[in-house]
Amino acid sequence: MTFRQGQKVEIYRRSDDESWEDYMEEFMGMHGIITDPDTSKNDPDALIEVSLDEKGTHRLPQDCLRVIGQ
Amino acid sequence: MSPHTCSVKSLHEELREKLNTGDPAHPWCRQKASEIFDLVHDVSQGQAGGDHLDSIIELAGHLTDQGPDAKCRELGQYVTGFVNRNHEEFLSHIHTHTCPTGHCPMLTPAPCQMACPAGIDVPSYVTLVGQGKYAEAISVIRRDNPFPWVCGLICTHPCEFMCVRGRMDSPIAIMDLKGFAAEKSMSARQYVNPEPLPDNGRKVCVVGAGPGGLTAAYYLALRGYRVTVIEALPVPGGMMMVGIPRYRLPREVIDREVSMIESLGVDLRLNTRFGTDATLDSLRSEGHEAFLLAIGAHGSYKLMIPGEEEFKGVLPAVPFLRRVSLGDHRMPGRRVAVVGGGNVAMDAARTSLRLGCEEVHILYRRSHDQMPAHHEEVVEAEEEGVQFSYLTIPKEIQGENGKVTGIVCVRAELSEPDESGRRRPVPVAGSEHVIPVDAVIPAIGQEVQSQGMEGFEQVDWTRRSTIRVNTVTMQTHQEGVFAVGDAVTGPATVVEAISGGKKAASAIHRYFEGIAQPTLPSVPVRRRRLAHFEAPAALKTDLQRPQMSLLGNERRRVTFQQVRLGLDDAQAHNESKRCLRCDICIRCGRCVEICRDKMGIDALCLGYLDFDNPGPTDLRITAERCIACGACATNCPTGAMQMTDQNGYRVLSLCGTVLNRLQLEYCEICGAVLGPARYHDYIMKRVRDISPEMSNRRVCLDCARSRSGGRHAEITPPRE
Amino acid sequence: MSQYFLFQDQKKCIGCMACVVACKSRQKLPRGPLPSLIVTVGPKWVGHLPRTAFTFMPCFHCENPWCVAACPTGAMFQRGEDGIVTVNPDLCVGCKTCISACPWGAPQWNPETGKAVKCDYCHDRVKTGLEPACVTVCPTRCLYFDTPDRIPEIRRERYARARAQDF
Ligand SMILES: Cc1cc2nc3c(=O)[nH]c(=O)nc-3n(C[C@H](O)[C@H](O)[C@H](O)COP(=O)(O)OP(=O)(O)OC[C@H]3O[C@@H](n4cnc5c(N)ncnc54)[C@H](O)[C@@H]3O)c2cc1C
Ligand code: SF4
Ligand code: SF4
Ligand code: SF4
Ligand code: SF4
Repeated sequence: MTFRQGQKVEIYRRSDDESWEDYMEEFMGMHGIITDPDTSKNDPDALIEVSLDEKGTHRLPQDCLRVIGQ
Repeated sequence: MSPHTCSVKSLHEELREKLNTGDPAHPWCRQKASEIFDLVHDVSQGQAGGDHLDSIIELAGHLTDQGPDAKCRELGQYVTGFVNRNHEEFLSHIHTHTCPTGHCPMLTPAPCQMACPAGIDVPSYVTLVGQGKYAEAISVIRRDNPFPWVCGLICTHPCEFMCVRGRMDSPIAIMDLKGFAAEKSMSARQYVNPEPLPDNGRKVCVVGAGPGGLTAAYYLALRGYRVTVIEALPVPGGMMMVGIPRYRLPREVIDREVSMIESLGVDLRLNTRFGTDATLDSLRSEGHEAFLLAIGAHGSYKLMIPGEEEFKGVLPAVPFLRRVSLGDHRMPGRRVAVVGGGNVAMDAARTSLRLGCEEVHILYRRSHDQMPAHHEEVVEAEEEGVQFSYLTIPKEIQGENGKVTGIVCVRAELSEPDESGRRRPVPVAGSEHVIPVDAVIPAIGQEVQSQGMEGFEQVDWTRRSTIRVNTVTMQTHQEGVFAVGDAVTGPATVVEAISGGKKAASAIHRYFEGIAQPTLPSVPVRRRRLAHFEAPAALKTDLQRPQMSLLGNERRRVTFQQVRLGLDDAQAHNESKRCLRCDICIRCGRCVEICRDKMGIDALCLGYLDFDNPGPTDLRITAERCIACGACATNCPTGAMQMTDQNGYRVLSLCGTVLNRLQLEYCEICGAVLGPARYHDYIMKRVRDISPEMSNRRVCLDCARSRSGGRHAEITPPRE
Repeated sequence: MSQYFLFQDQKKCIGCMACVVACKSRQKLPRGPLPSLIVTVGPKWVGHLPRTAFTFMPCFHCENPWCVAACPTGAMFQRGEDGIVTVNPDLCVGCKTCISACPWGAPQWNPETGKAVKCDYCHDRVKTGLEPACVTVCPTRCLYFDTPDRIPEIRRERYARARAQDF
């Protein structure tokens, strides 16, 4: 899956990545919008920027995200 | 929502519950308890003054010490203990009007502010722009971001993706309004620094003068620290200066904002590379006690194809753009191939065109739809004449006499989606072809250059070769050493680097003061509570996001002049009126629910309220249906929905947008205000079965009562 | 008509408003709402003497209440067991329809809660064997609360006369 700017996503699981931090547990199940995907080469391993509804904007690993809606 | 509930809110609710159920019963205690309740109420509304907390504690003390019964004394002790346990949370409500849990409706920041990595109070500055108070807007922004002008031109604006107005038509031009306000106040010489705290004598060293490092320097200098910034390059600004090209971000913009930071006494040492020109020991011996690594990601990934190292004319995008920014305006070649489909590739290609290159190709392995570059960038590159070759995979760089002559590519087809849904480019057999070029610019990603950082021995690096930090505080594994920006996230954005810089500044301050570091990301702080504009629903609906004028294409191809020409005054003012003021309305949907489900009227069509399933919005329909009963306004927890009587009309407005306006009727007897006729009709329709003849009665409550009281009066002559 | 009846012997009433205050304080109401009210009529010259009448105006708990018909939320309702008309604050949204619908202005507006309040014959007190708050505090004992059949004969007559003037 490559994510694109503006896509609506859900944090549907905990990431296995080392960059997952404790406070991110709270984000589980939340919805948001991809605001800055990897803009150089769609690297599935890059951390990408997601803006969560009511919870601010964060850089997250991609394995915890899935596209929802359209 | 966070599992931790707001302590202010829970005390507020507990006291309300107690008072409502008649507890405490003793009138003296009730009086004190309701005074406490009122104070807690102010705190939860963000309307508390500096002495509110002291007063609460004092009143609770009265209850404890002078309480006439045990219940009363218990309550006093309870409140005192509660407030002491949650002291910090109360203070944050009082001093910064911030509810750290986001549970107090009146203190919830708007979605745009929540989305801004730097946490800028967007609705406040947008409103100030609409009022023509540009300098004030800039000072609001600079509470959270010292680069409003830079960000007003090149920010990736996550705020606009979350903007609630975007669910109605298109988001507010949040970024453009910022650039507009910055330019206006800078040219009026009203762009000023706040007063810094007095020098506290402590020294901090920042490595790297990009947005991350300079932001930390700014907030530390304001707190009274002596900050040294060392920068390897001869110019400050980092990638803002040597990455982002001038046609998107003029140099003067960076110069002016950096000099604002320097003028706070920040010691900016250019041409000073950590690891060679300065070392940890040399800097420590100068008295620096804390360090911030903000070195960016200036290394480039290689194409890993034959010929890449061999021929002159292969230059990755980052060093190429840096060279151009530093003043070398020789073209890389007459015909250039840029490899990659990202933003940096677009910048490299468009820069090449401006240097006079005759042909500029972008070679991208996948299809147009999959290009990671932002849509706008791609369109502008296309307009300027960049040629795109999609589904094209470079195989080899060819050359003669040590110089590049061409790039061998194969065409590709997209595979069927694999398990992860990704469609891979598969080379088509026999499709090799040569694109004749004399320069190749790989633009396939950047990495952090860790060389020179060995001095920080305990700093830990991730498998992505970025510096490992706790992202709440930006602390590395080495005590007193912090890191921010691209160096920790990998290539990211200016505003994220700024956000990191601000977080690091406060963490460094806590480090010096020995205050415990936070464990949760902070909630942005609302800087103002401004009144909204009044506007009719039709205007609010009809205003459109402004189209920014662009520099003519001929000019764009040959010069580095700014492409986006900015907004004019009228555009900016109108744009600010489009804002829905989501700092006031928290989109709880109570009003809609009540009008539709309880009143059965369904006069509010506010589909934008919902993030997950936005529906249609029609602000004008309210005027057709609403009876002006006021139930929505009565139940609105924030005062966003209001019903007022103005000059003979009952007016329903949402954050200043006038949704309905009905002429009032008056009491036949005393002239007191009654509701509008439509409200009266609604009631009469409902009670028609009981008393059809009542429908013309226009009598107020008081007159109705005293009239019937009079009918019941028994005034009889005195008995004989 | 509710199964209870609150009768005021106007002859005895001195207009001290104790009932009004007791009613408010039982319902813990802020400034403004007056679920029961003493309407002062007069003074009028009766013969050669000025006379004033004090009419106690709570809610009549009508058989077929306007407010209940008007209320869109079902918050205003007539209790099945005893016919008392009262508001369920959990359902009330504060549209004030009931207030405007009542010909006698009985439902009142509580600006603090944003909901309607009214005389509910203190059914919570009555249930425990007490009298309504207004009745309890009346210093002249001019308020009587009981089932209609037990209201003394002459008072019923007087009441009937009073109601007759109304229509
Ligand atoms: C071509 C391009 C276009 C971009 N466009 C945008 C855009 O439109 N919008 C956006 O938001 N972001 C954009 N970005 C990304 C953005 O520029 C970066 O994310 C941001 O500048 C990172 O800030 P930083 O402070 O972490 O690092 P940088 O800005 O990279 O600054 C790091 C600084 O540290 C210095 N340094 C490194 N090592 C040493 C050392 N050993 N000693 C001393 N100094 C050292 C470097 O010289 C540099 O000046 C773009 C990036 C590129 C490359
Ligand atoms: S409409 Fe205004 S307040 Fe609401 S999200 Fe957009 S900019 Fe922010
Ligand atoms: S005032 Fe109008 S919009 Fe609000 S609840 Fe009543 S009818 Fe609906
Ligand atoms: S206006 Fe409506 S959605 Fe907004 S805060 Fe008030 S009740 Fe909630
Ligand atoms: S104010 Fe309350 S009780 Fe009265 S009609 Fe409206 S919802 Fe019903």
